[in-house]
Amino acid sequence: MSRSAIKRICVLGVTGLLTAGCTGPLSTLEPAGPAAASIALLWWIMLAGSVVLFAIVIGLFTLAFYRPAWLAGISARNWILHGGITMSSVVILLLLVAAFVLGERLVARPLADPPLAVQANGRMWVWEFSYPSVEGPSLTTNVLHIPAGEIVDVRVTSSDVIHSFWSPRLAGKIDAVPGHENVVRLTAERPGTYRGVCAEFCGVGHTQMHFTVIAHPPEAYEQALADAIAAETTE
Amino acid sequence: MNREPERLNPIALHRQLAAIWDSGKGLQRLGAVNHTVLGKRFMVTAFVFFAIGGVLAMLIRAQLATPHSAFMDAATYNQIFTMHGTVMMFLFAIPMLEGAAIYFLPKMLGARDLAFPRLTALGYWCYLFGGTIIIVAMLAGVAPDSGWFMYTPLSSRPFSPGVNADVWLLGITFVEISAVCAAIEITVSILKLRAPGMSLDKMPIFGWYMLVTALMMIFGFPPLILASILLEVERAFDFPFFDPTRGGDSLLWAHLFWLFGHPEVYIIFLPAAGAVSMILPVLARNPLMGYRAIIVALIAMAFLSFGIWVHHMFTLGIPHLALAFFSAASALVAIPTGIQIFAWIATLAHGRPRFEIPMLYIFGFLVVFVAGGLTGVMLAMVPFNWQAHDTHFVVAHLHYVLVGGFVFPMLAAAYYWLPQVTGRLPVFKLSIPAFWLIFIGFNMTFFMMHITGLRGMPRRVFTYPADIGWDWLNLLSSVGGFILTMGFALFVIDVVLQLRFGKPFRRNPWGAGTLEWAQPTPPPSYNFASLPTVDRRADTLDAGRMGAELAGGRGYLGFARNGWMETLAVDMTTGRPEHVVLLPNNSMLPLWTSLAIGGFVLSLLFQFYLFSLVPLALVLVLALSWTRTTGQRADRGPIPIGRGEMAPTHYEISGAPSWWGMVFTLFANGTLFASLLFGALFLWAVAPNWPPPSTGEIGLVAPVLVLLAFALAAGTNHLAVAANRRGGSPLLWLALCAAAHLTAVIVLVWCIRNVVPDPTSHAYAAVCFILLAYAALHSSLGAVFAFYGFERFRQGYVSAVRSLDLRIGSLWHDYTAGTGAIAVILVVLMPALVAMGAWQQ
Amino acid sequence: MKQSPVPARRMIWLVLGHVAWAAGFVALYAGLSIGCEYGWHVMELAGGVSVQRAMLIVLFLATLAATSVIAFLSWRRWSAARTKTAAAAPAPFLEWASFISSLTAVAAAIVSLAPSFVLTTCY
Repeated sequence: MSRSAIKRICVLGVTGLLTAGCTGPLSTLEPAGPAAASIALLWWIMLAGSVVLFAIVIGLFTLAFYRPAWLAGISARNWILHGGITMSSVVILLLLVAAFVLGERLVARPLADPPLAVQANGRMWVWEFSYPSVEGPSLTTNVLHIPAGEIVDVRVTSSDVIHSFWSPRLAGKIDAVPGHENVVRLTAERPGTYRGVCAEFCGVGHTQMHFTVIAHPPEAYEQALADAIAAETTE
Repeated sequence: MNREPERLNPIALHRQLAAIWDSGKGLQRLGAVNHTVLGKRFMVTAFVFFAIGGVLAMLIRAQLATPHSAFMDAATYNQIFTMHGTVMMFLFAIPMLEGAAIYFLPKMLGARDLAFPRLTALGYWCYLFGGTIIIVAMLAGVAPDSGWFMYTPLSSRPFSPGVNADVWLLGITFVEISAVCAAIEITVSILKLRAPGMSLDKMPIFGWYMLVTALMMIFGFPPLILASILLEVERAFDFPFFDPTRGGDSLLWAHLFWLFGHPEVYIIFLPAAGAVSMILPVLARNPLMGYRAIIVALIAMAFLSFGIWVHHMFTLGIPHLALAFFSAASALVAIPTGIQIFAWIATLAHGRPRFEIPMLYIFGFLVVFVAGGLTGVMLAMVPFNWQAHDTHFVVAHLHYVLVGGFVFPMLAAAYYWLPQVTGRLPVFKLSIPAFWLIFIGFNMTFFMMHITGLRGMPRRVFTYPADIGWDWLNLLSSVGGFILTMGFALFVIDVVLQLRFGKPFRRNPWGAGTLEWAQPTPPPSYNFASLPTVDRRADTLDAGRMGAELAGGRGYLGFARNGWMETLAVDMTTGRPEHVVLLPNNSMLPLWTSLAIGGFVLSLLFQFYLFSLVPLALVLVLALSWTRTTGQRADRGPIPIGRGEMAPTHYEISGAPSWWGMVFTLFANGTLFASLLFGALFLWAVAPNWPPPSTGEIGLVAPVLVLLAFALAAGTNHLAVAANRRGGSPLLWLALCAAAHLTAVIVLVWCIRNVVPDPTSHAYAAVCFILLAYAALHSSLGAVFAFYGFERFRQGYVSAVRSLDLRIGSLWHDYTAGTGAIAVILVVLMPALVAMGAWQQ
Repeated sequence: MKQSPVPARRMIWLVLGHVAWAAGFVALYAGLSIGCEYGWHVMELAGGVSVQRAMLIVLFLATLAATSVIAFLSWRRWSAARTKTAAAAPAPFLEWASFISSLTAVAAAIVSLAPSFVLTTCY
């Protein structure tokens, strides 16, 4: 076997393991929308940085234990100033700036072109979705219908205890707090079905309080939503 | 009378001191107040709770090992995981660190006991009874089941109708009393009861760690105590503090809980890091480097850790900028941690490290804790937190931080200090396989959870489907969990074997330079036959030589006098000898008092609200009787303290430990009051369903009357102190002080009954009710203080020189007047605040 | 009784800078929450700066000023203690630690509160 073939097998093996370890219908690391994708990218960057920092700290500590003479030339003052303060400050400042910039992009601030809004209400132990864009009653239980490729603001609240709306492949979670309305902004890049769960402990039915997000092709969205609402009312 | 007692030979001295200081035999053991005895009781009890918490963890892992497990149903599982968190946090970690501090601090600082020995005992009994209530409730099947952070409204009456949540609120508050008592005592003891010459910059670093920790407890626990009281009042009497339909807000609970909850993590970590900072230099054969930098890092860490509380609330819908404040503070806290780690590296690099068992556990600590710290920085990043929050990633992180930052260092500490406690060296090498089982088992259990969490598994689900890729990760976690348990079992066996078969040794097996190794082992009840003088940093002492000298009575107080339990108090900063503290002897009062408190807690739990006044009155009577055995009826002047020096007793000086104890008690109390103010304003600014239906008309007459009464109460007590100082009688002023307090109470109760709207109608009324009730409660206790001062003077315990009882009262009266005035003024202003509320526009 | 050469109240300087930071931190958080309730973020003050933003910046600068003044004063105390050769035992240590601690408070104020200039205030 040639060296390049070994290399290819190794690369495939590692990526295979990584993907096998990271995929799944609820995996934050198999993003299906820009919000989840950028957070996943942040995670991979932080993971790489953490591995390096971990190796440095543990390596230095081990070296200081087994070969103190190698490191004895560095004064305690320099250890603390450079290792303790400078190194960690630089890492932390860079990371904070990156996270703030990313956070700003994800925040549901008002847009010049207001995005589609849907309501999500958590109730022990179901999710009730309704659609202000539809006239009249518009309820779908445990299934949220959105158009693919469009920005959607999910306005989340609760009628009893605190729940949390989370569809990991689309975006981060937002808590459903009684008496308050919180917004999470998400986009499903492609049509498909995405799973979601209640992430905040809410009592005996917490485990079963999951839901589905169905992203329809934009041109078919209105019809699909109308059908879903009609099916709900006839049930 | 003021002649120095004669020097005795070491054995005679030991007999005399032991006769004074030893705890009794048989049932008299229940009256023990000695810190060595109680420190051990704390640690052993905490370890028993650790075992209970561990069994609960095994049940959790058994349930989650496979998908669709039928081992437990959701209701049972909810009780089990709630209890696991509660037991580990409140009944294991905090008491364990308190026990270690109680046991070691006087020994490291060169004192014979802590400042308030009977308070140590009270704290122990409160802890034991509170913990027992919670465990018994679990055995009865009514354990708390709303998660260890008890979010409302899930824990409110409509969604948790059973007694479960009450068990948590009352039991934990009972235990918290013990924690705050211990914190106050530890703070005062570190500041005042040190060896002569031990100025602040010579204190062993563990003293600094514990000083910072204890102060954090004084400011960190009151928010939770307040929140628990408010929630219990809501559950019992339907005051809607957290009910969004009546102007309450569940976010208020989250704020108050995490205001305690995040500092709590550092409260647990710091003592353990302190232990590492004591052990590592000894094994590196090099005094700790960066001592001063570590102290500054600790101070910065203490403050930053309070600026992190919203870190747990990133998904609750708080604006991004607010999250950024907390995110930055959370990330910054890594820097003081880094400073400590690099100080340890420097200490090793400049020393001659040798391998010993504690070092193995320190390696384990570092690997696990650094990993946990790094995931902590990740979680501090807002966008990532939105994904990882409330998943198994967080479960992994918190176990890396808490087990890494507390359990591993405590295991290192156990192997390092067990010889000091038992007087025996280990014989078998079970510690090494135990370490590897714990280390491998731990990482196998919790490393997997990072991945399970990123793959979307939320916390606190009792089962999961097989098709989403969580099954093999959970199975590995469960297997790891059982390996971990075997490791702990081996540790227990090892300790038992050491106790049974360990070889006795003479002194200081590690060659340490701190005072706890200058004692005979196991340590005698009085710690030091005479108190040392410290002239250099107290981790570089020649413990072996000092031990012999001190046993020979050649230090301070190297004699037994009048059967007194004596130790020295020093000037807080310079460490110069200042006065002799006469400590109270063994007593059953702490036990009776904590039983009375327990009776109060149980009558609340069983909703005998009227009956609960009986144990409450009993608590007051017992508390007053604590002082019957303390005090001095004649001025004695300076007495010999050895080495040809003289010092007065603590009754005759201004800054006695009990005076400082009251100062720190009021700091804790003031934090509780500040949290209450925060709650009132928070509900006004943020809660839904405001304005209230009615605001009531309090007018100005009643408030002005109350304010005048408060001013009069505080003023008359100052006049009483002044009259006493001049040698006159303070009795008239004290009577006036009590009368002023009673007037304030009467007017306040009238306001509560007649002016404040029905407190169940809206959070506004409930808050006004509580504010006025707070003032009334403090004022009634003020009357008790005035009465107490009156009696003490009449019985001859107070003189111009011995004015402690009156001056401690003064602190209370001033505090009551200050906070009472703020409470009343806020109640007067509330209608105006309501009129300009944001919802009015 | 003799007065201590290093009175206990000196220890307050160890934490003073951080107390100022904590006060500023709470003030900014409270101001932010109240401003959002009252809609100050949509009230423009001048040049595209909202009332909310202006208030936050003023509070931030006040915190920065308070922590800096404390740091400066503790620096002066430290330099004074350094030149005095006969200072009693923990005094030089206390002054040094107070100075460094105040400096860390300034740094904490900048890093944790400077986002007030840019980040979205009420969403």
